[in-house]
Amino acid sequence: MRGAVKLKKYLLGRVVVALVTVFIVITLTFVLMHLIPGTPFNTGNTNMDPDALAQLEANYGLDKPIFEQYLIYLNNLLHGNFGTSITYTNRSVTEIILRSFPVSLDLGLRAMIFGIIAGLLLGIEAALHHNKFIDRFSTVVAIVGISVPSFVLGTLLQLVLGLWFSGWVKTVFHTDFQLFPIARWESFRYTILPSFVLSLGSIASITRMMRSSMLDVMSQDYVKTARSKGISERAVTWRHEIRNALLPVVTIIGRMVGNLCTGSFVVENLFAIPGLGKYYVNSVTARDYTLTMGLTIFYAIFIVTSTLLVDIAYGFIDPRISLAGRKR
Amino acid sequence: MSIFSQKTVPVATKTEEKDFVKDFTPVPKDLEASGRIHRRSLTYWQGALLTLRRNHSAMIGLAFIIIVILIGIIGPILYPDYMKTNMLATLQAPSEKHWFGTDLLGRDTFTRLLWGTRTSLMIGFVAETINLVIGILYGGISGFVGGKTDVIMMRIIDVFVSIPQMIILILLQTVMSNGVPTLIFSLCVTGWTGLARMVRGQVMALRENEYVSASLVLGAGRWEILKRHLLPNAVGPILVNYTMSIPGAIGAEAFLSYIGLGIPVPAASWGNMLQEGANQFPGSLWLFFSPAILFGLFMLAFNLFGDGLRDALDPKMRR
Repeated sequence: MRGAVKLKKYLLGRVVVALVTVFIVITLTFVLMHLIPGTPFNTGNTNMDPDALAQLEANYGLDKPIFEQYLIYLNNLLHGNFGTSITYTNRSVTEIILRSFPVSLDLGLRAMIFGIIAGLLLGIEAALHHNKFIDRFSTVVAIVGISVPSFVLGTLLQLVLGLWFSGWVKTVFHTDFQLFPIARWESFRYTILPSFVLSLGSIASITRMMRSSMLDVMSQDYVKTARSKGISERAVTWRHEIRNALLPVVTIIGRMVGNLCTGSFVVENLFAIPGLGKYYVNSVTARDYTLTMGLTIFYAIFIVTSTLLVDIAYGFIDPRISLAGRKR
Repeated sequence: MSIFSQKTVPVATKTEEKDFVKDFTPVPKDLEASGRIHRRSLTYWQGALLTLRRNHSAMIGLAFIIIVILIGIIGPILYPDYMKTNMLATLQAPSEKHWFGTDLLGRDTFTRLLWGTRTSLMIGFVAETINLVIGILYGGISGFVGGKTDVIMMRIIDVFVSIPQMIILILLQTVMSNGVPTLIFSLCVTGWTGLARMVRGQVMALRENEYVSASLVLGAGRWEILKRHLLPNAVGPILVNYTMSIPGAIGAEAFLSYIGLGIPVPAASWGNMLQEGANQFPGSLWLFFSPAILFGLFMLAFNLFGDGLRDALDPKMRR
């Protein structure tokens, strides 16, 4: 019973922190964006007709006092209205999100699934063959994946697989077929390189975590007990070692969502994929403040929600959560 | 030692046994010698240093880090002209005159790389050193004061941690003027929480440890406990945390400059050199790969050294 109460308290605490976080991000974004001197249309050096300017600002509600603007903005957000883009005329931020977020989600899920599978396999194999070749290999993958950022690796792969390899294919087989196209997002082969590049960070962190977690579990007494009871090696590995070692790895999956979003900013630009990350980066460089603001808030809500869901799932999976709390 | 020698003594057959016993003369007991300690006793730091020195990849990493730091300090002094453009020699391939070629405006990539190294390293070290101070102070206060203050301070950290770091970085870069100070400031806003939590954890653990209670009972003052117990226990993890966070800060700079925020162009940093190189891709590959290789190797070296340091400073990991 006490466990159930503590679990409930833990979940409640997480939800409250998530809500407060989202609220703070919204307020912070709003305040910071309005600290920029002038309005998006009037940066102080335009030669616009004052009347037209006033009309434009009134259209976007920029003539009202700032607190009223804040309340209006909050109200709009509650109704799913993230504002109107400035550079893409007549396109609402919500429309942009609806159109391009599925692409990002597709890319992110591919990278996530591949990253989890590859990371778990590498980590498990490395621990089962401790100090053998596969272990060394996984260590190298982990450290390279953490050290080398995606834009360096992505450019390298574009060069080697995208250009040199397809150039070689062209001279040998006289065909324009590209196995690894380096831009756009159309059929499956277009998704291979971007998904792989995006997943590398996840592969590295999951491999690392799974390996050390497996090694830790493998030296536990209950594993020795299971083995000495005569349970088959396979059953010990699956039922005792891998199952228990998976627990701490679940926690990084929550953090992975944020990292994948960050990664998608780069990968989508690198491979010219029309996802949300590309719009976000473009909005920042084009100084499209309403778009930046809307997308920042959207990303914050998305990341905080997914982290929260993973935490809740973790609360149900791990029987010890009620005692240990969540650390690391 | 005794088990070992028993194993190597040849097993005597029954006929040989007598001769064997006859030949056997016990060595006189030397009490003084057996009391002597042969292995030099090592303090915590000596042991850590020894382990670290035996870790080849960490030492290679350290050597590389030192070389790059020296490049960042000395290089710009020897080659000051990183902004000098030459429209007659744009996008030149590497040659004797321009070791790593020239960029779109005819600036020498080698010189810019030296300056970029200085900028990137400075951002990483300065930002993380500030974070170190903030983290120790915040965590220390939270842990020492305890009670309600601690709860409130930790809730603040909870909220800080759950805001995605990249979003704060991008937002601050958008709002404030781009440049080194803004970058350092925004890295500090987001970077101190991990260390603060860890320091608080150390302080809290210290309050509950028996040996601390014991020394309190024996009459040790607050300062004595701080000096004898807290510092030696906390310095290791803090050092590891500091080392591991520097590549993170440098990577964040590269990421921001790469997507067009961060350090604006006449200045040089690894990130904006990578961006310039990527803009020319797939032509003029030297523009991308000269900073990319240095940057990648540096990150690798830092991570290898950090891993080695962590293993060396953790007594449980020591072999």
